[in-house]
Amino acid sequence: MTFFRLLSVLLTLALLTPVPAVEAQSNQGPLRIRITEGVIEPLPFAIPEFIAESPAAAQLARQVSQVIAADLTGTGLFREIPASAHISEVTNFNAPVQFADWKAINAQALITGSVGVGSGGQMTVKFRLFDVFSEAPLGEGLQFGGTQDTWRRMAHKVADQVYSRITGESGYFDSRVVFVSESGDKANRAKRLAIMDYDGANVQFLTGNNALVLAPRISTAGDRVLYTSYETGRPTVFELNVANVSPRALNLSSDAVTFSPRYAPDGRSLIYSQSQGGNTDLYRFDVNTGQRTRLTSSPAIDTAPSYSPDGRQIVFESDRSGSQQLYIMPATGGEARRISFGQGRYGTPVWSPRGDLIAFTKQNQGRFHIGVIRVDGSGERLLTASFLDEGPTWSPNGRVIMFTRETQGASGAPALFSVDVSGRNLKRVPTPGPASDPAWSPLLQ
Amino acid sequence: MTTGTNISLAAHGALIFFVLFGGIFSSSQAPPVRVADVSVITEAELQALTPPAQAPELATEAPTPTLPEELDAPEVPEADTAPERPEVSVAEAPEPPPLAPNIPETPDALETNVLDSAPVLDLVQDGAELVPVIPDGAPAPAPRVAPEAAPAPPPDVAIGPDALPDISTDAPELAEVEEESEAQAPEEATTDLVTEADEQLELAPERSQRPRSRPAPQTQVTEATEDTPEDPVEPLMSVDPEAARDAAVAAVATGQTSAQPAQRVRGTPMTAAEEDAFRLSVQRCWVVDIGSEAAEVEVVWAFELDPDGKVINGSMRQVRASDGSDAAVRAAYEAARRAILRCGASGFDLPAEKYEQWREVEITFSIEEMGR
Repeated sequence: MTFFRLLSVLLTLALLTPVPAVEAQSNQGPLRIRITEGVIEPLPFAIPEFIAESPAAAQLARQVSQVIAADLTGTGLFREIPASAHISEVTNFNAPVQFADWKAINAQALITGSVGVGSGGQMTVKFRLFDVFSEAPLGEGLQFGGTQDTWRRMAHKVADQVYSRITGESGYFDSRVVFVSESGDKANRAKRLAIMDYDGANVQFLTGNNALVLAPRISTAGDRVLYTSYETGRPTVFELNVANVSPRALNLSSDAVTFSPRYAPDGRSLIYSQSQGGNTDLYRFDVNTGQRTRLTSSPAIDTAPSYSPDGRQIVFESDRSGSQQLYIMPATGGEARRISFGQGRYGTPVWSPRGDLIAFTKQNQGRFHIGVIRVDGSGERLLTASFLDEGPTWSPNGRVIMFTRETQGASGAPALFSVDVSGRNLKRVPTPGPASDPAWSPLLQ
Repeated sequence: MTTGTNISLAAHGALIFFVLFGGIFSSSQAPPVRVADVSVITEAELQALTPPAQAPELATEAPTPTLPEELDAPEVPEADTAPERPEVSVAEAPEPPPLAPNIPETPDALETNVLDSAPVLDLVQDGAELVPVIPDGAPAPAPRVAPEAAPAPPPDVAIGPDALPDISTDAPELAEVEEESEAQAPEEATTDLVTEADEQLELAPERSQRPRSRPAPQTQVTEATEDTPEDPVEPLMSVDPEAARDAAVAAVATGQTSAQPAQRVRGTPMTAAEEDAFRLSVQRCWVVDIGSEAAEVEVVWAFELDPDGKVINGSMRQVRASDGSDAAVRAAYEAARRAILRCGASGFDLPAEKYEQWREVEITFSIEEMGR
């Protein structure tokens, strides 16, 4: 009884005791914020016209500035603030930057530079990149030297540096694209190889229009091009030395049809498809020794092979499962692993230079797509959709995909398009006329 | 028995009377218990409750100020006031190897010279009028071009001399076509990636959606936000009455009464709404390059703010970053720093009376909700 009394007294006291306010733990550390979503928009930058170190350099300075701005804005990741909005004027390459003036127009990056011309057609381009809101340079200033007729390349190199310093990735502006230039009626079209800067400038032709050519593939060093030609009346793989524009037929097979060649990353061998007796398999060809090695031996059609950047694996398309899908196997051959499982038909896989993604063409429900998929088969994303998209090729940094898009109808013609790997910035690449089968070179040295 | 009962009744009655009128348990120092009706609502409902003025500006258009008549050009320095310049070793830039000596019409290889000492720069050193003077408060002069010359690159691949002459004559005609490139409007700022393939799949909804129920009124629970400093992003939190009661009983058990309130180290804490507004004010300036390796890197910046909400110079500190290449980590840090500095240029809008709560800030940047 005494115990219950004592308990009742304690409970009574406890209930009558005022309940203090709920005090949560005080925040003794810094205020912690977690941001899990940003905005996707071009980064505004300013590039005052480069300073001409002499009157003779005035035009070059203007052109170099324009090409740099065009390179950066063409990525879709940057937006140029027009000169009419500039408050500060840069009149001296070494003058202090008035950051407040550039902040006022919301320029996040500022590119200043100068152009000088010397004797013998030489020229120099100097530039600096500033992070305006940090009021600090982004990297050191650089100077490029060369001849005046290489001014576009020097501009591309400056743009590559700017792109690299801001995005953390290497650029892709100082590169070239080999493609098939087409002319004539759709039913009787002439096709010849051409090469141009990545932005469509400086187009030059590598072959004549006396023979149909297809599917050029450029080596990782950028010095040679593989392509399929009907010059001999049947599809034959040729190798063309870019330096002297001298093609030579590769004797891949004397009696079988060979096609779809592509270089190994080391450039010393190539893989291709060989069709014989209604069966198509993959082979490797040693460029130096001429030795051929069979890599697949299935009754299915195995074609469109592409090496991984480290040269250890090959991705290719095959209908061994009944429908056209993507497979990966060791570079020496062996068991293949299927990586595509979606609806439709998958083809022309190309391994990204970064090694993380594989671009492909997909045909589904009457439409063609360019898409990307991870190496393990996950994360498939379709980037485009049209009447006919095919033949993807990666930019040197693995950020942009160029491909062929053909319009519908009798008057339809192929053209080159590019799209960011995120699916944004889909745009047409300027070419002299109808064009197809792009092959993007590595960055020039 | 009756005596005991009477004594007990009298004692209890006295105790109740004393409690009610004696004021022994009332304390003027103790704040009244605040009870708030709180309910869990979704983020969408929170957004619906948030005033439009707090919505982030997704696109930041550059203003177009008129050009002043007198430009604020950098002051031309006097020669004798030139600042000290580092000694520069003059290195002759290497001659650029030609891309293809036998092909004059093809571009030559480029030198990539990292130098501070090109001949043209000698003129700069000699020309006193070009040496900048740094007035008080003016930004530091831009650094010189890098002092070391990079090795000359190998010769570039050239187009061969036998390029078909009949084809090369087509070049001028091609240039005209090249200029016909389509001008495209810049893509708008967004937080979602929509590809061309996605757009094709956008169809009209098959049925109309039912109108959403009105969200419950938002009640800010100051105390509730205090116990979650590690997860301040949660827009609202619920207060479990039983948990509050348990806490009260625990306080009794430990002898903590209203006369001994918990000592708040840093004053009134930030509410969830205030923290959310701060987060949005930084988020709208964080430009994410989806598709890049840098976007995959999670970085954390720490910094201090002055009472005006501006970042204190020199206080920004890189705390940590997830895995990634050096270049990607650096780019991720820079993008995050630009967001902080750009949106905080005029000071973040934070409650001044809670300065101690936001004087030190640590922000984590991660694209986990943007789709990789």
